[in-house]
Amino acid sequence: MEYNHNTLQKAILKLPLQEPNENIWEEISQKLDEEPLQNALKNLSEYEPDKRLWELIENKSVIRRHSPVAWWYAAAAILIASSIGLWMLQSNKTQIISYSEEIADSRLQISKEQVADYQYQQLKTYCETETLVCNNKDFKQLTQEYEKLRTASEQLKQAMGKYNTEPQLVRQFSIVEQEKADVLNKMAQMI
Amino acid sequence: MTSEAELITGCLLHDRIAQRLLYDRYKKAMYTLAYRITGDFDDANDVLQDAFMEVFRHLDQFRGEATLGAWIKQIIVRKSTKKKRIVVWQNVEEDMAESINWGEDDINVAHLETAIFALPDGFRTIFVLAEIEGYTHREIAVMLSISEGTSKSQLFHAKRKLRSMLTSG
Repeated sequence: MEYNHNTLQKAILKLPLQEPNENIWEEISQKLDEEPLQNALKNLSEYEPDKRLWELIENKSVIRRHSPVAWWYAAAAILIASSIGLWMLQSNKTQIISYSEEIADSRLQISKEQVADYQYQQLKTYCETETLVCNNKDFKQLTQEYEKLRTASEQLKQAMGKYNTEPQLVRQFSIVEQEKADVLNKMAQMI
Repeated sequence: MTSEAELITGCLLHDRIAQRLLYDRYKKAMYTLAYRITGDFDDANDVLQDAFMEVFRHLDQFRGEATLGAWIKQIIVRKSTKKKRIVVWQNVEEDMAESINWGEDDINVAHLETAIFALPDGFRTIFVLAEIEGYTHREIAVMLSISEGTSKSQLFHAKRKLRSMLTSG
């Protein structure tokens, strides 16, 4: 049972009301201004990657497992180790001092992105709109060949490290880069 | 003075002046309700902002079955209880035989306000909705997804606690 409920009600009616700060409206107004943008963002189109992309990913992972470059790298390491061993043996017998000078083509110096790769990217961009040539069987084959060479080039770059002082690897790298350029030229001719 | 129907039409056309007028008309009552449920000014600010955004976004869903104020209040209650994660416990054992007497002398309003905010969240929510906002137990039960019995018993316990705080204070 409840007695004198009106006493409580009288007090409740006198309870103070609270007023929100003006900045609440400013924030609401700002959010309302952004509504059209937010709605548009929700409706942005989604893009499906080319089906070949998965094949490329798959190929790359296969290359990583069976790449002949890995063998070249191993061979180069053995060669370097044996050269050092021989040199040490020789140096114990005689005190002959020798030196060699390697001149590398500046175009083949390792940069973050090779010129050929940049041009290849441009070709790929072109292929996003121009699908007729790019879906050609020969063109696709060249693309795959280029991707393989690019992977090999990347692995050589990793093997060479920052200072690329191993002549064997530099030579190998320049050969691969030359091959990439040739493939790229063939692709450009088709377009 | 713009009528409610004119305000609604203006808001549906995304007229910023109409939106501002609607906000001004209801801001005090809604902010007070949000503050009384959450017991925190910052939370009440967030609730008010979110609630009015929902009002402007979904005003086309307002069917006019209740007043616009009542519709907005429901949004405020939902957002406030969600913000504070207020859970109203379902009572298993009930003992509402005890009587509560508010006396004939005026209750000190400041003490009453302090006591209301000292109530546990669940008790306070039911007390605010039933005694201050005037919702029926059926309406509260629907709004908070509890049984009518729970609403009644929570209100009884809230009042008993409130009375005891006012007597001791």
